[in-house]
Amino acid sequence: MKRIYTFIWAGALVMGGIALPKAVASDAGMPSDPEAMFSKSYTAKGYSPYAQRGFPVRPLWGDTHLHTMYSMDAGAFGNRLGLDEAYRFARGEEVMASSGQAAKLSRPLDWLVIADHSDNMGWFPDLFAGKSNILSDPTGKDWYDRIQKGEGVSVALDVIKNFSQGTFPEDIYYWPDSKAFRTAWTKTIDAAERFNDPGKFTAFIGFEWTTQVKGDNLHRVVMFRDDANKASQTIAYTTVAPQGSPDPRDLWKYMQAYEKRTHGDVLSIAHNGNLANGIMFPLEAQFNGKKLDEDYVSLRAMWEPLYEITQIKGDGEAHPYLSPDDEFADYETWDVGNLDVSRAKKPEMLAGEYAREALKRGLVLEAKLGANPYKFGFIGSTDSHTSLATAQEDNFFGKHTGYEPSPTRMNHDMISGPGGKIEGWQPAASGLAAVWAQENTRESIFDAMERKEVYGTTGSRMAVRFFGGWDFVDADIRSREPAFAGYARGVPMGSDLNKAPAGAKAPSFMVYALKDPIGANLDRIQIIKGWLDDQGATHEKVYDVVWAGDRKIGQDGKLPPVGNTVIVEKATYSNSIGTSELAAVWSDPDFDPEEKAFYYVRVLEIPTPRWSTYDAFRYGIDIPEAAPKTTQERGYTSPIWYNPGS
Amino acid sequence: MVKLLKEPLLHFLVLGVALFALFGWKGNDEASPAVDEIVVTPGRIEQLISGFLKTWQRPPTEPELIGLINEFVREEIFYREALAMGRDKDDTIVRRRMQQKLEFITEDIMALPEPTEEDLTAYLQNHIDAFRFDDELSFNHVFLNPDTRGEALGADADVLLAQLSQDAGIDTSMVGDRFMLGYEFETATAFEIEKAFGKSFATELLKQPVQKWSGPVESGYGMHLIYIEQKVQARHPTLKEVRAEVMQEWQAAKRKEMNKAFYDKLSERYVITIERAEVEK
Repeated sequence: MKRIYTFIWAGALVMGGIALPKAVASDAGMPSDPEAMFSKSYTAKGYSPYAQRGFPVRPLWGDTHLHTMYSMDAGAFGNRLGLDEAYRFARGEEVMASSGQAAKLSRPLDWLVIADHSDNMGWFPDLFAGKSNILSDPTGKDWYDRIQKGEGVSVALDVIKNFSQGTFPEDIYYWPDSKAFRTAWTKTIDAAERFNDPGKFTAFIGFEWTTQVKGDNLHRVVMFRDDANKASQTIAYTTVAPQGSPDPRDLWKYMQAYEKRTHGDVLSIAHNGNLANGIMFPLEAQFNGKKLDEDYVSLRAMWEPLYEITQIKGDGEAHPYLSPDDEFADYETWDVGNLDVSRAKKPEMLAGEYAREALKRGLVLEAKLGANPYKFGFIGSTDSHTSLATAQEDNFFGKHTGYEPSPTRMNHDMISGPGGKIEGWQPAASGLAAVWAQENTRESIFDAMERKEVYGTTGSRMAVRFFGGWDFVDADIRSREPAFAGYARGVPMGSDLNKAPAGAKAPSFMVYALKDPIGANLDRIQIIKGWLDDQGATHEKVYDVVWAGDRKIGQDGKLPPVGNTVIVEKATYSNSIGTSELAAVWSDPDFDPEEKAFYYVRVLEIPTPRWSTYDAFRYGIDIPEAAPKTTQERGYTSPIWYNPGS
Repeated sequence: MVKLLKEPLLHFLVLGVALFALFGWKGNDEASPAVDEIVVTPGRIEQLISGFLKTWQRPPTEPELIGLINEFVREEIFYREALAMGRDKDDTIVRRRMQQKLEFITEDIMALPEPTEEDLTAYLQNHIDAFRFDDELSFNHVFLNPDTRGEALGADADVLLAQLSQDAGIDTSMVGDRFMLGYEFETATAFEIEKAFGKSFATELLKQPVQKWSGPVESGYGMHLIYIEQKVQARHPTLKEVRAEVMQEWQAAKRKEMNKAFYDKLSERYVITIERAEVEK
């Protein structure tokens, strides 16, 4: 299988559409066969190659999960940057980090969700909400007039003075028991509206619902497709009874009530299953002991189309205990305990924590209860608490303000508790969310998320395409626009393949990836398959599909490592290994039409220096002994599911 | 009499008197337990209802409202007791939260003034480069993949460039190698090009001639032959074109300025003594 595709890859060199097996002209200095300069396979849908394409051409990059100082813990850690600074940074401006150092992204993001914690989002009075009241009071009128004249500072001082002396005018005294009292939610909505710039930069309204059970993480980010008109008809859902609840089912009820009333659109994204001590992806019972039922699985499937597979608090794709045959499963693993490390991790908890296993459990639950609660696409995001969405190894501003760049940031433990500790070097400079949306707007991006045409990376901006169908052939991938064939005769990442058409033996997948234009070359593309057998047991297998160089699969069935060009002492690497682009059509050699299955893609970059290695070089300090010196950034696409019998 | 003994009201009264006597007696020489008052005002109830309404998109039922009120009372009692114990002191979270709350309020008060037309004009003039309209390009490119062409890359580029320059009829969508991010870019700003191709490519691209095949220009992906269909030069905008942006920036700058002035003034109310231990030499 693999050899064939390496060969096809060679055929694709000259350009799209040459009949195989034309040899590649790569004699030193000589041009390729002139005949081969022109593609013979024209793949545009209609005659006109310029006609409007009905599909997205470039992925849009963003972060669904950023905290500002309005999140209580972020503020407590010393974050002094608010919503405006967070948006400015994301759209490419330089800002001064809370630790007093200048920060700027290598490239701006296309969109952002600021997801401050809903609990304790802060109440504040709107002193001047009722203008008529203010103006009928002499002091109020004086203040109002002075503000209009630009003397706001002295008015603010007056207000404070009046409060402290108990002389604040009763008539304009809006205090907690008044309607003029607003939450920080108002500010959150307002900032998103101001920074949302359709076509250029999209700012989503959102919040994080931070529920945990004795330290076991069940957090979700909730994001809105809607603007202020709709979003301001609700408030961020909290975890505190009686209004809020720690139960995800209540969160879904809240979302349902919102949509029903406003005709808005909202979705929820869970994260950090790795810190849930087994309760993120249950197979039998919910966190409170109640058995999973049809209601639970269908509601979860409806409200949670995505999962945040990678972020600063560890990578959540796979765990070596669950996937012992996958040599790349142990990546930025946080498996010491739960969120506050109050309880240590036990191996039997892991199956309820990692995304690949969740996809497998989803197949079991679908067979048993009729819906798949874990039928989600993948995104990555930072969960940064610094207001700075940084995920690049050489530009990493840490989890929170206490871990912004400094010579000592790796010295103190990140979290410690009865269950163990997470050391200062352990945060991962990860992740990002890529969306195949046609336009950079709230609607277009949100809709792509709902159809799961998204993928996550650990911080690198590689472009990745993945299509599933029944009749993809090599000519499709060699054509100038493989996406034409991809959409016309197949489905993109995040979709379903149903019962095979007559004559089709196995699904074929078209996958291709292009490196980050300022990043490292690519090592390989893998397809990961999971399936449910007729005994009700699940399985998984990792296939190396296409790779850089002329490596051969070894006796052990493994593709040898790509090599490593990192010079640790200088924190540099070179793109002398790997390749800028990889592409293949792959057909499942072990396909059984009776078995439910899913397929997703993992793209690996060549090794590059980890952020801790950049820190060591820049500050002239030692790399902590336990820290890996290099990292292989990766991308994870949303799966394509195969459903027999439908 | 028997009937009277069964009367609940009597039980209540007797019990009340007994308790009163007990506490009254105890209170004579020891501090009596302070009875504080919690008044749940109509305004507060309205606020609880409004929060519920926004969460659930319907008003609370009677039992739900009682639940909300009870929870509020419970929180209030704990809050007061904790305050009485000084639990708000020396707590970083509480202190920073209080600081934030004050900043919220004062920012709200101070951010009110509306800029005049002159304010905005002056702001735009003083920061004209920040509002500059980028170069805008509509271009086609033909991609040459270095990994697959290897040593032939340079020569291939020359041959293709010559062909493209000679024959205007070539369907450029059929020339060169597959490129994943598209071949035609319409009115893309330099900023957008930089996002997709990297900075050095964007810089080089801007130097290429218009309506003529040129290149190759190198990017992080490989080599590109370029045809710029149309180029709109970067220029400075008028206030009318960027009013909303200028307004936003003006307000941000003003807020920053006022926050600083506010803090400076506020700190004038304090005599600040820093007792730093002498460092031994």
